[in-house]
This record gives sequence, C-alpha cells and structure tokens, in this order.
Amino acid sequence: MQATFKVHRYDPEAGGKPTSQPYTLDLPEDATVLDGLFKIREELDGTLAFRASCNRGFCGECTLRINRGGRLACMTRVATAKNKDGEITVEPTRFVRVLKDLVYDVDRQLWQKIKAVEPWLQPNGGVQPEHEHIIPDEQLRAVRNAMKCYYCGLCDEGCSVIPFDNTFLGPTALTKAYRFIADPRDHAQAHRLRLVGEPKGMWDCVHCYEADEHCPRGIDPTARIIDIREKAVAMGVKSGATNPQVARHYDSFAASVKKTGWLDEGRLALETWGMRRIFGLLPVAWRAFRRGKLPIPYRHPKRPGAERIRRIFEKAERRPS
Amino acid sequence: MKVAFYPGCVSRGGCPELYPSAVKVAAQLGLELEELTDVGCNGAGVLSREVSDPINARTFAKAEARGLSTVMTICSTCTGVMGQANIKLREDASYRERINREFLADEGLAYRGTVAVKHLLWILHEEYGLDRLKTAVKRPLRGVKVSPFYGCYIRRPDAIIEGKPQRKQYLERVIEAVGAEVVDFGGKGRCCGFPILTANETNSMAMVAAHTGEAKGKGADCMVTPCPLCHLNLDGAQPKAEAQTGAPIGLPILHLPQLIGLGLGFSSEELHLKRHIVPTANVAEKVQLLT
Amino acid sequence: MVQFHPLGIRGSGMILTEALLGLGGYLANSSGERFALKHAPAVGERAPRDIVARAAEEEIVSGRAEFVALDLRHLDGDDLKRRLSLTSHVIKTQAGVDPAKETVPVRPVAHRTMGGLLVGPDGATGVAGLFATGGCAATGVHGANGLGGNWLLEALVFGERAGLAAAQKEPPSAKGIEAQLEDERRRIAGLGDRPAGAERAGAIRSELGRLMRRHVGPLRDASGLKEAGNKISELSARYRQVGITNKGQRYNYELAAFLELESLLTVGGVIVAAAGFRDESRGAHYRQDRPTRDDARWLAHTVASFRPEGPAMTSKPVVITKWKPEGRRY
Repeated sequence: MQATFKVHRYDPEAGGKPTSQPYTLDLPEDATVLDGLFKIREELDGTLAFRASCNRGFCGECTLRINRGGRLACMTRVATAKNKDGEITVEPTRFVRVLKDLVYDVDRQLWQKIKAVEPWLQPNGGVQPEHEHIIPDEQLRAVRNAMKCYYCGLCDEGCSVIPFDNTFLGPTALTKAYRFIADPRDHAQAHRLRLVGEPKGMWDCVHCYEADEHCPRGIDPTARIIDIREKAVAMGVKSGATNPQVARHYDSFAASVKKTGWLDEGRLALETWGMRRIFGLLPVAWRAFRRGKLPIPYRHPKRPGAERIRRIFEKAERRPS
Repeated sequence: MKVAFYPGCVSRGGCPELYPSAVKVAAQLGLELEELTDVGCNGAGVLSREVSDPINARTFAKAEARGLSTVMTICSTCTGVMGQANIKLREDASYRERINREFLADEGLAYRGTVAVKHLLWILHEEYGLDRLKTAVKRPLRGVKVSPFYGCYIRRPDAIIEGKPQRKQYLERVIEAVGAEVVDFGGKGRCCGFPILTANETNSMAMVAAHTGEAKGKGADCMVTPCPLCHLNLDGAQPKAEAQTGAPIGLPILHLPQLIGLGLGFSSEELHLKRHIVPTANVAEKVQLLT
Repeated sequence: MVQFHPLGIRGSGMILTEALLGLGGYLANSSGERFALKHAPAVGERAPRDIVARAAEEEIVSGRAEFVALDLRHLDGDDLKRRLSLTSHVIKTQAGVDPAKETVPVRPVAHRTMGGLLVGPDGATGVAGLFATGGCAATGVHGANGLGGNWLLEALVFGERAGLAAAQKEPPSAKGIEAQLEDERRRIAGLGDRPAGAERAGAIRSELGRLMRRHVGPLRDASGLKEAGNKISELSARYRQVGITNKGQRYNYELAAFLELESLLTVGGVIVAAAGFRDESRGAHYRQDRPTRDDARWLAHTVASFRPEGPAMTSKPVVITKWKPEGRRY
C-alpha cells in the first residue's frame, strides 16, 4: 500500500519557517502512522524528530495531530487515515511550543499544569504508617479508572477552551485533581477543591464533552470534572477566593428552581453579579427591553408542581452523598 | 403523532420568541404536543445530578402517566441533560428504584424507564420524516445561506447519539429540506461559550466571535441553532463579542423553529423575528422577496 | 539469562498477564489439545513460566504453526472484564479478538533478563563509583527463572540499598575519567563526519532481533548458538559501515539509535556466549542438545568479561544455605 505523509518540519534553532515535507512510502496493509514515521526516519530522512515509546497505545508518547485531529500515531492505521489521494497530514499538537519537527514542549503544556494541582497524596495524619490501609474495591474503582491516565494530552488537544485560552488548567490536570479528591486515603479535599475552584480551574470548563470523545483510555475527563464540581457544591466550596460570582450563580440558579420550579434569568443575572456590576448589565437589559425580551412588569410566576420540586430539592440536599 | 412537550425555561424567559414559534410550527406540521405543565427545570448542566436526577425522573414519570413515550425538547441543553439522566435511569434499575422510592413515591409516581428524550430536530428525521417536511414547505428559502450551529449537548457525549451518527448531520439536512443553502464551517459542532459566561466572560465572548465570525466570513446570511442557550450567547452577547475583539460581525441567529416556520410560510412577525438582539431584518427581507 | 513469557499476543507481541491462566484459561494447539498437561500433568497451564513458554514453543515449531490458542471462552466474561479490565481491553484492541467468542492467538516472546551487571549486595559494580540496580543488574535473586512480581520487589529493596550506599560514598575524583569522557565526546561528535554508508542501522537491528529469536529463544542448541555468534560478528562488521545522515545536535534520534545498536550487538554477543558456555539446561535456559540439569558442574552463575576478541566466560559458585535444589515436578 502506498501513502504520502505530509509531515510538519521545523527547527526553531535553525531559524526559518515551519514547512510541510512530503514523503511517499510503501507500507504493509496493517501499518500504523507510527510505522510510517519510523520508516521515514530509518530509510528516507534521519533528521526527522518525533517521540514514541511503547508502539502499542500504552504510554501516550506519540500524541500527534493526524489529519487535523489529535490521535495516538501508533494506534492510527494508515489504511483508514489516508484520504482519497493517499495522503496523511502529520503535525504536532496545537498551542504548544515546537522543539523540533513533531516534538513539542510537553513540560510546559502538561507537566506544569499537573504540578499545579498538587499531585501527591495528602493523608494529613489520617493514615497510620504501622499497618496497611485497606480500601474496599468498590471505593477504589473510580480512582483506579482515573489512574489509567498516561498523560497523552489528547483531551487537552481536543478541548474547546484551550484554543482560546491556554492558561486554562485543562482536562488532564483536572482529572489528576479528581484522582486525589476521590481517593479515600486523601484528607485534603476542601483544600484541593478550593485550589481548582480558582479562575482557570474547573469552573472555566464548558463541559462540552470533547475530552470524553478524545480520551483513548475511557477515563471520561469531562465527567470527572463534573464530579469534582458536584463535590465542591456538596461540600459548600463552590468557587475559589477570587471568583465568588461562580458560587453566587449556582446559589441563585438553585434558589429560583427551588422556589418556582424553573429558572428566573433576571434574578440570576442580578444575584450573580450583584449591585456593584449592575451598571455593566444595564446596556444588556436595555437592548433586551427594546427588543421585547424583557417584559415590564417583570414577572416570574411559580409553576404548577413547584411545591413538589422544592420538596425534592430539599430532600436531595439533605441526603448524605 | 403525539408527544409530551417539555419547553424548558429559556424558551419563555430569555428567548421568548422560541416558545410561540415552536408551538406554531408543530401545529402546522400536524405534530400534536401535550405540554408537561407541572414539571421542573432539568438543571441545565448547572445543578448537581443528586438534585436534577430526581426532578427529571419525575418529568419522565409524568409523561408515562399520560401514556406518552416521547418527551420532545426544543433545546440542545435540555436534550443532553435529560437524555443523559434518562440513560442512567433506564440502565441502572437499582438507581431508578431508589429515586422512585425516595422522591416520587409520596406523589404516587414511579418512572418505569419507558420514555425517550428527543429534540424536535431528531423527531423531524426519525419520526415525522424529512420528505413529509419537504412537502409542507410552501416557501422554499432559495438563495438563503444558513450556517448550522448545533450546541454541544445535542452531539456529545457519544451515548446521546444512541448509535445514530447521522444525528450529527440533521441540522444540515433540515436547512436543505426548507430549500436553503448550507454554509458549512469548522465551528458548527463546537462550544458557543455560554456555560462560562459567568466564570470567564473573556473566553466566552472569544468563542462567540470566532464561530459567528467564521460563518459570516464564509458567506452565511444567518446561523440557525436548536439551542436557546447558544442563542443567548451567539445573539444576545454578539455586541459584547464585537466590542471585545473590535471586529464587527452582525450575523443574525435564528432558532430552528423560526427557520422551519419561514419555510412553511409564516411571516417574520408571527415568528417574532424582531425579538432578537442582532437585527434579523436582512434575512427577513431576503425571505420576503421570495414570496 | 533471558526469560520468555508464553502469552505474547498476535501482532504487537504485547504480553498478557499470566493471571488469565491462573483464573483457569487454557492453552491449546491446532488440534485443540491442552499441551501444557503433557509437561505438567498436575498443574497444566499453571506451571512455571519457563515450562509453559517452552511447551508453547515446541508446539509452534513441531506443528509448524505461528501461534497457540489461549482459550478464555469458558471463563465468566463479566468477572474477567471486572478483574482484568485493562487486559480485556488489550485483547480486543491489539489482537482484534472477542475473548468470549474466540480464542486468542499467542506465542512466547522475550520478556526480560534475569542477569545483568555483576553487583554486590549494595549495588556496587566493578567500576568505582558506578552503582547498578533493577533489571540491568545481577543480584542473583532470580536464579535461572525469575518469578512474577519479584523484579518490582528487587527494585524496591536493592534500589534503596544502592541509593543509600551511593549517597554515603565519596564520589571518585572526576579527574580519573575526564580524559575518557573527552574521548567519548569527541568520538560521538565525530560520528557525524562519517561518510554516508551503504548500511542502515534499522536494517541491522531488525536482523539482530530475528536471529536472536530464532537461535537464542526458548529452545537452543550448540549449532544454533554458533551460527548466532558468527552472525553477530558479521553484523558488527556491517555496523562499522553505517553512516549518520543527521548532523544535528538536538533531538537527533538517528544518532541515539546508532549508539543503542552498538550496545544491542554487545549484549547480544554476551547472551550467545553465555548460552553456549552453559552446556546444560536450567530454568529458562534450555539446550536441546543438553536437556538435563547438571548440578554437579553447573550450580553456578556465569560471568562474562569484556575482551576485544569477544566475551571471556567464567563461573562463580552459587551459595546454598537453607533451600537445596530439588527436581521440578508439576
């Protein structure tokens, strides 16, 4: 089978601009993109730089953009990836400094963000060193699922927020935070939730579920981020110190559903931002009024069934999680 | 065909143009809606599931009690949130039983797991039939260029698609069915930024500007979305997005029932097209000239 | 000594955990026979790794098949998925097989070494100031047949000892080796000046891998080992004809692969020499021309020392205190 690899080449130290270099290869039918890259380096061009390790989808090293989508090169078959002209585009991941060709700065992109969530167990005296701390299998199962993460960075690569703001912690680091928050041996939950509750943390996630679509290990990072947000709400640690409007937003949303059965958006805007920002909201309110979106007098009636909704709400909030 | 109708909160709140348009269009198509009037907000991805799962189980039980097996939504977020809740309630019998016992029993309700949650967009394809929709179109929107914007919750996670990858093309097919031209663009399945309007307005506005800007740059006359929360950002916050990036956009955003309604022959007044922040006059005029 | 694992899956060669056999999985040849019972009538597939690997290799060679069949169809599928979720995932995605419905094609693959650099109990090697521990070191704890889990244990125990010992020792003066370091630096830098040769490192590496598996696998004999030794000399000569096309100083993977290949050829040569030197069978080392264990002559570690003309082989007696060697009957 023939295929043409169009490979991103760039050496920042040699100067010049990034280019796309084509290599046409003969490969076996079941070859992977990584097989192709090795063949290029061994037989056609020894100057090509790319990272790879296990070649089996088990280490996360060979994360690349293949045909403009984040993939593991060793798990992507050439036969299915090539287009009708027999071409495959291979590039490094986006928004990260390229060190050479397909090798990018993983340290800055992933490791620094992971370090920021304090990725070590904090038993805080809750575990006695004299004997084993046995955790029932049921409890540890969720943690073990998150521990499967091998930092391939595919979830960050597919994230909706990171292309707009690479200071967002991102799904990889937030999944790491989940791993410790959910670990019964860790006793720093409130501290961790406050830490990742700060701006650029878990409340900056748009829960678009792209991360879940991209994770090759079935960890579902988006669902993990939602888990820790719900944990924060349950523990009353709804946001960090510098973004209190997030907590106010949740409380207001919950309050209007509890009271009337449905969401009161006007109240939500006011209570989220408070009287200090009311002037910022006036142009929006004025535009809405002029377009007939803001009824005067503003009414938000209780819906039938509101009492039932309120009772469900109170019962659920009282239930130990 | 008869379905249970769940209008959600925003269709009568921040997007009051949506509810009457949806009702009019359903009536015209012969889709019988039985509105669930005494159910609550599904949580919209904001409320924790320990609170929203029982509220949603109650909604489904109410539909069952009326002998209805489909709950129709007109919001991508409602579809996704309620759809995910329904998947869990249907597949985990012991969870469903606990919810029934602790939260619904005292009202004499119990959810048996027989309901399907479907957006109007899915019902049009899967139950009503696109050919039937085409015959109902009285004023094909020839020459009107429309970009589709889905809203994340109607596309992901994968479980929501229920094994039907064609659901990720439904909006384009409806645009074509009403005679309009699809202007495809990269952002159609991406996030509008609404969920972080509170937490990070800068990023939220950047997303609005990127997606509307891209569609406009590709020649779209307007954008259509099946999600009123996306609409609040793409339309309601478009001026703010323009101010942030310093680049004018001016792309009108239509709700799905409004686009279909124009094709069925309703006037722009009947579809409340003036109740948008970004003026829809250009599109309305273009359509008017077709008559 | 090299340990071979019986459960390398088709395609990637990735190793499946023996727990699959421990949970009751069968190994069958193309006639459907559970061949492990011939070699270990009492425990069958739960026999030690070397016995199962050798049995599978014999079936493959004599049956002229490529694989043997790992049969998990009779096991509780849900239990398997729950207990070994990662393994189930690997079987599906790497072997493309649903273990509930089909058998999994497997064959013995090289797994790890039982030996390495000769070290003392605190990890000190024969080179002053150089400590070695873990898979690259020979502490003697694995003998001729390492048990699953013991490498991790070894790394924890001896790794700590080596680390502490290294920390307490005064590092030798760098002056002694500075000249050597400078030579090596110049040598590596000079590699870029070699003319582009007719040989490619990748091709030599592939040939080395194939010949090692053929002649120095679970089943060995004197003539095969001699052939392997000759071939390695040939490959080493060809290695000296390899040119480096990448002159860069950063992320030069071509140069790194070239330097690694030299080590592969050296270590390959040592393994072949040692396998030829030990003319008996013991644990993972099986000589078809010397199939019995010879405790009288070979209750000993083999030691290879570097000589320019090839490794010089000697032996060191094993110290027996409490547990005397017995026959292996399963």
